[in-house]
Amino acid sequence: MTPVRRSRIGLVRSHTPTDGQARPVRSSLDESTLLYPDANVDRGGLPVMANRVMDLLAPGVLSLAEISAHVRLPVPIVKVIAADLVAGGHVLARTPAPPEQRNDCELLERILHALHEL
Amino acid sequence: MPSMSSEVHHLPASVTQSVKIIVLGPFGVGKTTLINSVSEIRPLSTEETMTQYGQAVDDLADLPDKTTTTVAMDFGRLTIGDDIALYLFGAPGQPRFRTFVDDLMLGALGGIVLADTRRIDASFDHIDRLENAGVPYVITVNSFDGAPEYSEEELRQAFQLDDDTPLVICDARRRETAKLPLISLVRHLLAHTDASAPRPEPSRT
Ligand SMILES: Nc1nc2c(ncn2[C@@H]2O[C@H](COP(=O)(O)OP(=O)(O)O)[C@@H](O)[C@H]2O)c(=O)[nH]1
Ligand SMILES: [Mg+2]
Repeated sequence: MTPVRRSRIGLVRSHTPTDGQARPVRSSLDESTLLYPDANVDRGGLPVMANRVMDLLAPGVLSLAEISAHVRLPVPIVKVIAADLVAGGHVLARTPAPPEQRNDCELLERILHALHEL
Repeated sequence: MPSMSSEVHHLPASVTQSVKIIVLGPFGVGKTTLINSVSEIRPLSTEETMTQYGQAVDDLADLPDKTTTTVAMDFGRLTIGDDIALYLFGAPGQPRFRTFVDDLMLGALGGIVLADTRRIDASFDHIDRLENAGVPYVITVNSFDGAPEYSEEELRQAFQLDDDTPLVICDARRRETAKLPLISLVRHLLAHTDASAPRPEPSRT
């Protein structure tokens, strides 16, 4: 027979807080953060990499992970660049909030429908 | 313009939100295959430097080559309507990427844990960590040729699943079945929204 997973927590699993351990704090930017460029903001004085990111974003919206893949820089570095661009008003960032999304029936129903259609 | 590694597929400005789902499991279990089967873009990958994920620089002093260890994380995308961008992130399976994966779990709507019946125990750690992070998940057994077949009951017992956690069997190479774990995860989430939970009578105002 197969090996059996030994659960440390017993019966109640989902939503069980970690035993006394603090959960890591989420930063406001993550891989799935969407970045919306604002072409009206003057790019004068932007560092080279920030300019490259703005070039990449010129035609439309991308996630932070997509930027990371296209400019070939690790996600944490793109986070720093994106944070600067947000601070300077060059981009708007939207990061998903899973606790709200998990209770957004309309959103979940639409995803479900799209998956069925796939 | 920077030289692009591949064609860039921008999202329309009408996109209002993204959704992050992570795919976990040991190396070679079919994560990239599943993402590729479902994604609308050719899967992309990011290169991550390991030192950025929680390892103290001091610990690496004796191991200079470790500082250059990179991990490729691959991901795919599915646009829903003109306003939702769903991302599927494949977490690297090797144990040394734990911190990286724990970081990736943050902000995920849910997780898909892939398993191979020839080495079921290789997926246990991923389940434990999703539970600890409070991220809802489904278990997906990938059908590999010649791998032992177990009944659902046996699999549930092996994974120590409560009745509520979905268990799906799929072939990650085929879109029609690769989407099943995603469907199952979203159904699972729908069954657990605040609205679907029994709640006390609302107080009158
Ligand atoms: N028979 C079978 N082979 C699969 C399946 N999923 C993946 N594979 C094969 O397993 C190998 C490893 O898959 P890959 O997606 O690279 O694994 P990863 O390391 O988890 O990303 C590839 O050769 C795939 O073609 C499946 O569901 N059934
Ligand atoms: Mg892979």
